[in-house]
Amino acid sequence: MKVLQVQNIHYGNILNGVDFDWHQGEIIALMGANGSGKSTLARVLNGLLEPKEGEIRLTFDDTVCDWNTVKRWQEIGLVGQHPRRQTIGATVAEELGFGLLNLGWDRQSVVNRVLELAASVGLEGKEDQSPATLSGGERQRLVTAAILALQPSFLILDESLTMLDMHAQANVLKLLFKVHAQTGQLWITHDPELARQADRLLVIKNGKISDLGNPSEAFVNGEMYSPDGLRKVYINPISLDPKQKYSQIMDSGKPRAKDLLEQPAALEWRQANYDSRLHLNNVVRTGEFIGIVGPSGSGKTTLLESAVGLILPNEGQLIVGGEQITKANLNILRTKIRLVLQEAGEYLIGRSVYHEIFYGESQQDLKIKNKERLAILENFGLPVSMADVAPERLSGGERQKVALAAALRTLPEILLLDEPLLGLDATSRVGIQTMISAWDMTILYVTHDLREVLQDADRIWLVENGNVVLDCSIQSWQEHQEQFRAAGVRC
Amino acid sequence: MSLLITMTRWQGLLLTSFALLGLVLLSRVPIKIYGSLIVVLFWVGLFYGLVTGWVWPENRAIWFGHWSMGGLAQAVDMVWRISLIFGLTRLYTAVTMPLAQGVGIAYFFNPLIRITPKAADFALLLTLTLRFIPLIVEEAILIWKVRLLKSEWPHSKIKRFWEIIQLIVPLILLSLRRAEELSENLMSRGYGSGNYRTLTLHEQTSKDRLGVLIVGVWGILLLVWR
Repeated sequence: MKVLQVQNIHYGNILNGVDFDWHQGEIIALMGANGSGKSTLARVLNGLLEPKEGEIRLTFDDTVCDWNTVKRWQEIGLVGQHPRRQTIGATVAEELGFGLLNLGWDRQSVVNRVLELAASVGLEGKEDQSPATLSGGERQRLVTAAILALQPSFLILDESLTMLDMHAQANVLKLLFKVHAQTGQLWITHDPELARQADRLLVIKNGKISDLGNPSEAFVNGEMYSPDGLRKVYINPISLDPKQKYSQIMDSGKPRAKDLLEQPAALEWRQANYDSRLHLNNVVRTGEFIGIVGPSGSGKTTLLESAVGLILPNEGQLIVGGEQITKANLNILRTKIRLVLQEAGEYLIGRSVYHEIFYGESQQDLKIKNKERLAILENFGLPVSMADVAPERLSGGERQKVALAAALRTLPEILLLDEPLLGLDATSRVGIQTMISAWDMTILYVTHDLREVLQDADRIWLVENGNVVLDCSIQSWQEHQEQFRAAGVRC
Repeated sequence: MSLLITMTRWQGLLLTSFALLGLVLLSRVPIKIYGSLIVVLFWVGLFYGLVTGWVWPENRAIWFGHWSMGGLAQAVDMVWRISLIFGLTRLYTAVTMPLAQGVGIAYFFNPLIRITPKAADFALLLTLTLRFIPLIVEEAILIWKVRLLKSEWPHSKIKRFWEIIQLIVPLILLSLRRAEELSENLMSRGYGSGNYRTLTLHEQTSKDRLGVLIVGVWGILLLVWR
């Protein structure tokens, strides 16, 4: 039995004395806020970063192994979050065999093993394809299998399951549980439901680790202990109640569900066909909040792109505010609609937070940094002192808030959100969800987790193969729960 | 083969022309893919026609010149060679995926790895570059979308130029981040300098061997007729 002993690890201001033991065959869930040092710890464990202080010891039956004789990369595998950014090989076969060739295996053994591995992860017959041709779920399985091919004693999954829909996640989990006995696993995640499946729960805060023991006990009555700064999200079953408590809606001044039907159409697709990728014939009423769910690659993002005119229909019409959208009047459309792209925080193009929010304004206007303009930052939970900070210096949650502030600064009539909570910790999620709930505008919100929108949505669209195959009111979502689950939607 | 086409005489060119025609028919690739070649060849022909076909006496102005049959024949010969090289390259790129081309080139580096590990690094660099370019293009498209969604695209050319310049910095930052991720992935799989070997699953078939034989004979004939 191998044990990885992590002793008093320090790395800059991020890790301040991390201590824990990790046994072969044990699954540990590691949770913590954005920027708390989870990924840094993963890199230190994997040997990509050298700790400034402390030691990582590998023991085999209580005998300490010398790192000079043990290959760290083979003992401790690392799988990251983004499937498309992790592949190395030109083909599936090369991806699976890359590490084995580096281990010095002969060609024929590698070929045999590659064929076995491809079959075990459901990629048989695709060995000669480029990984780029695979779906996100297939690619993540490919990368996980390529790392597992090295038979690591320990495997780190740095939010590797975050971007996957329910089916894809289940497939990767199946692969992971298959090697449970011989591989210690560290699941870095923000998802308490995933963490529950681990043997032990660790929480990182202020660069130190707290061991919360068995996750099932840590999540008492569906809530996680608050001292670790992890608030409850989706754990409490009450959060699965839809928002249609009429009294609350009336109190908040938002229109009632039946009133929404009398509202004019804010956005309408009339038999719109987009290169056979998307076929839409749907209406969005003013003030409506529509949750758009569906499996990965079903066309949810393309739907949002069509709404903002990034693609125009080959057939049919897109009508916004009663006006048909063509190439000539796209600018009108874009003043009315704002789209916050998936992982918007990754793609901030302003040189500072202030420039990002007021991007597109003249140099003279940008120089006016009065209280009124700076107040926008505060409205989005960002301190004014952050105005001149470069976006890349912010945490994931902060960057996402900046992206939202930039989109909402111009007061659009319609807001399109593509997975706005992806990769965010519980605190940031709650903050952003609270903000979204307070906005009184037409919102189209794409997610593969239905629970994110249940409290705010008026209607749910299920998108499959580029079609809205189900359009149901929020009150009736449970009647279609099986259909949602069959489509890989978490609910 | 391209090198041999530049050296061979008319017999070799004739053989290559028939071979190209046969390959075009066998491949069943739509003829329209060669459309862009015609425009290029027209300009190349015009250039060579003028350069080699129009001659003028020494110490006289250009307009005192005349058309030379020998010069025009030389231009035709040159355009013929270029057409064959372009045609074969176009057909090759139409029927071979860029990654397969990269892997193919890297495969031919394998014997060189015994001489120097740098050959392995170069081969890996080649395949990685081919894979990295689409990733960067994808990121560039995302940055472009982000910009389009922010505000109206200016009409003035100077302002447009300035806008594009402003997008270069975030794109470079993003490219560096992606390159760093790639290098981390390589390290996680234990890559060390000189380790890279291409992996192809398929064993050579009799068709492959026949293909190599035909190309070999073709090459030798071109060499003989030089």
